[in-house]
Amino acid sequence: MLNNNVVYKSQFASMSFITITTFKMAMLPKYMASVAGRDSWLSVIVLMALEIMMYIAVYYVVRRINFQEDKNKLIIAPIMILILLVSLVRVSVLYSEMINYTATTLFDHNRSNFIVLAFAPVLAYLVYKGGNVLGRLSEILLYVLIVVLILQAMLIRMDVDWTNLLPIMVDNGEDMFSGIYMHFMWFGDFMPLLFFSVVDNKTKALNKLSIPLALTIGGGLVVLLFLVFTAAYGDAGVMVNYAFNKLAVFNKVSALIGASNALSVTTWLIMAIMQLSLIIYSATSALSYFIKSKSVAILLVITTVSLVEIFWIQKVDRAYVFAIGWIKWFVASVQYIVPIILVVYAKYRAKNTANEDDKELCEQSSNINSVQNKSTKTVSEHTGKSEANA
Amino acid sequence: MIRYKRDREKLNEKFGGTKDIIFLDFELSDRSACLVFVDGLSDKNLFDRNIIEPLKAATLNSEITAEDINKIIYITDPIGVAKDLEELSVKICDGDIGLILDGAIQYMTFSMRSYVMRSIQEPPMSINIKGPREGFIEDMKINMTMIRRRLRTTELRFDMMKVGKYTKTNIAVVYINGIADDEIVEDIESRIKKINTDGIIDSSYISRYIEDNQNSLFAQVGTAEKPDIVAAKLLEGRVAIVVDGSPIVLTLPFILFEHFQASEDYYIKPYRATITRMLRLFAVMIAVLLPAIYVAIQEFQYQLLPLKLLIVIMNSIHGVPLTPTLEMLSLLLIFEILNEASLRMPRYVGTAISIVGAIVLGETAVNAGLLSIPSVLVTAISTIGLYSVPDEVEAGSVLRMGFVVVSGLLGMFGIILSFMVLTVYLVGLKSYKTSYMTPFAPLLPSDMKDTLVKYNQVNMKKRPYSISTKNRTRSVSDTKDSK
Repeated sequence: MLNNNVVYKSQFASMSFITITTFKMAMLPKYMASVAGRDSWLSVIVLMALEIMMYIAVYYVVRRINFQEDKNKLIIAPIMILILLVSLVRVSVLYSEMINYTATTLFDHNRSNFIVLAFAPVLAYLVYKGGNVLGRLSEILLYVLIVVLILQAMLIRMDVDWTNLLPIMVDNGEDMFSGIYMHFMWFGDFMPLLFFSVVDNKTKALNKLSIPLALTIGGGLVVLLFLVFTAAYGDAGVMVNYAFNKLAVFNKVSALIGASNALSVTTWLIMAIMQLSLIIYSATSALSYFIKSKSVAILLVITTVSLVEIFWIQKVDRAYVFAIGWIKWFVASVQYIVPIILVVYAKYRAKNTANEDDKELCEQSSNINSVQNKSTKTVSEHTGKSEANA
Repeated sequence: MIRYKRDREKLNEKFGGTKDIIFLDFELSDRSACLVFVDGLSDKNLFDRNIIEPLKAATLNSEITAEDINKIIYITDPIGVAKDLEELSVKICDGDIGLILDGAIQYMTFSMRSYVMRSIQEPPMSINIKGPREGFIEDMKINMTMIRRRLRTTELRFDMMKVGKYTKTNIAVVYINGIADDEIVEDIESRIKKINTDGIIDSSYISRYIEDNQNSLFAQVGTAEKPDIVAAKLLEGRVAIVVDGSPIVLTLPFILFEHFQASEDYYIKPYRATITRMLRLFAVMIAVLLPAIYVAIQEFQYQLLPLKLLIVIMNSIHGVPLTPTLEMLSLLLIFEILNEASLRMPRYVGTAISIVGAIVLGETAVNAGLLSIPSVLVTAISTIGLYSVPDEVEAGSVLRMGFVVVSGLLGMFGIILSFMVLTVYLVGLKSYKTSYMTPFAPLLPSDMKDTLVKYNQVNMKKRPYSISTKNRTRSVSDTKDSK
């Protein structure tokens, strides 16, 4: 069982920020545009609302129970199997996207297996270091991310036509709903966070603000990106592979300092590695519920994922077809229902614990009463005797 | 009871007749006596005047104790005693003078150590424009005095111990009682006590034994060459280790960002300190990553460069027979050789080596078309950057070579992967309950006042949270109130 999973609230917030943004900013805008067209930003708003609701459930659970250490196997074991399966499916799809991104942005050629082989040991190492190291890593990456985002915002050359956002829901929202249900695979990102235990920071302000800020800014950034993307490209969005990169390709100073999109490429890749590590961490943690060796669990998960990428998925288009197939219903149902089940379970456990505590208290107080009665009797008897003697 | 003849012989046997141990025989009140000491470790004038002459002139009763001798001779340190010959021999090796007196109850020792040592100077690696200039020397007592002079409190503690089977090196664990965490002090002392080795020659030997991750590339024990730095760190709740024979004092716990803090930052205005700290961080990033990025850009990601710069570089590298990776690696290797040679050579030859390295080798190689100008420039910038944080030179020079190899194989992709692995490794490191990357990860906003942005001392009222201490409050009164 992985046990070093305790993180500070600020680290949890950093991880939340990275998970809520990363894979929604690369290929998803293109995919969404191909299904939902100009309504894609509306689909994203709905999905982000779902995401926030899921987050509330996840946060409720991690603050109350450490479910991987729960002994109720009847409930926890099936949940672990479901999480393992969903994590493996999601990793396969998102890993494929990351490999494709690397191949096309950094190597200018089609994907190659050596990229998979290069990623595998790095991901294994990250997961091996444990949950709290991932928490700290996300905190460090956040600094890089903030600097890069500020730089990009300063350099950006906006050529946006906001009228491209209109008209909305021309087909009674059919496109919007298609955009929602077709892309569940890119949402429900908070499930890996279930495997963390959250403790308070030493600074009060961080405790109060970190999580709301992470969610607001992260969610806001995603929605803003979709808005700008739709406004900038309109119906041509389907031709833009990586939305996040395009933010800085034609910036104000590219002629002077070169292609500053290298900054976005680097940042996105770092965030993607971080998020994939989190999903693999959740798969590994789930597997560790059954296999007690952490290293074996990591090895099994990484090998499976790499083999799937090399021999089965092979192309990002294939991954997309897989992601929008029947599997999306399975993934969506698990990732949105499992946190709710765990919330109910946490409440049930809290109630049970309270009842047990009450019973214990009652027993203790009755014991104390009986002891007190006995001692009063003895004292009175003793006093009586002494009085009689007197 | 001491028997002169028997004990003298045994002691002589114990030292194996080595010639630097002097046995000075004389008569004290008709008894045979012998002073044993290491030649050159005592002040001979004082020795003759304050010990030999009074002893020879004295008349003593039958049972002679250390107290009796103390009344006769003129020394400032009280006379010590040794319970057996083993202890006596250790004290003699330490520089004390041993007295074997026939019929005395115990062996006696006097301390009159005096030996030639280096004078106090400004250390070469911690040069200041403003602030104190004195640095530690090899003598432990002097170093301890320098610390004591800065911390005139009854709470300053020096816990003494000896380490090394043959060297029996004196080691002092220094801390301020009431500020330093007792658990950390105990942990450090227990780790030092566990050291079982032939000898401790320098404080760096100790640091290898007591750091949490002994095989790490990164230093997890702080080093200080100046007493003002040690005093400041002790006041933050850290613990120092003074090792006899070493001009470098160790400090614990240690965090990575300490590399970027210089003592002068605290003696100048915070604005300037903030800028210099940012520059140091930038310089280290450049030092480690620039050669690798240059290789990656040449080998894989040339589209990242603006067209004009790309043309300039293309013209420069035209005709160079080596691949960018090999070219960069050979340059870094040449630099390492030059650096090593100029450090070891006598100073006047070292200057010649620098000239040969910079002008003859560099320029000739470029003119001959073996190396390109941009790669020489990149190496030069990287090396200058490396030396902006002297404590990081060891790790930095290894890392930049590693990054060059990886970027030669995978380009920017390799750099990103290596960066991730390196960051994860660093955030996972711990030094005595303290995370190595704190206050950045885990984030401790209150400790940020002394990181990249340096606050005014007046505003740093609490000791850092990152270091476990018993007392967080540094200054209670507000300056406005005091006005």
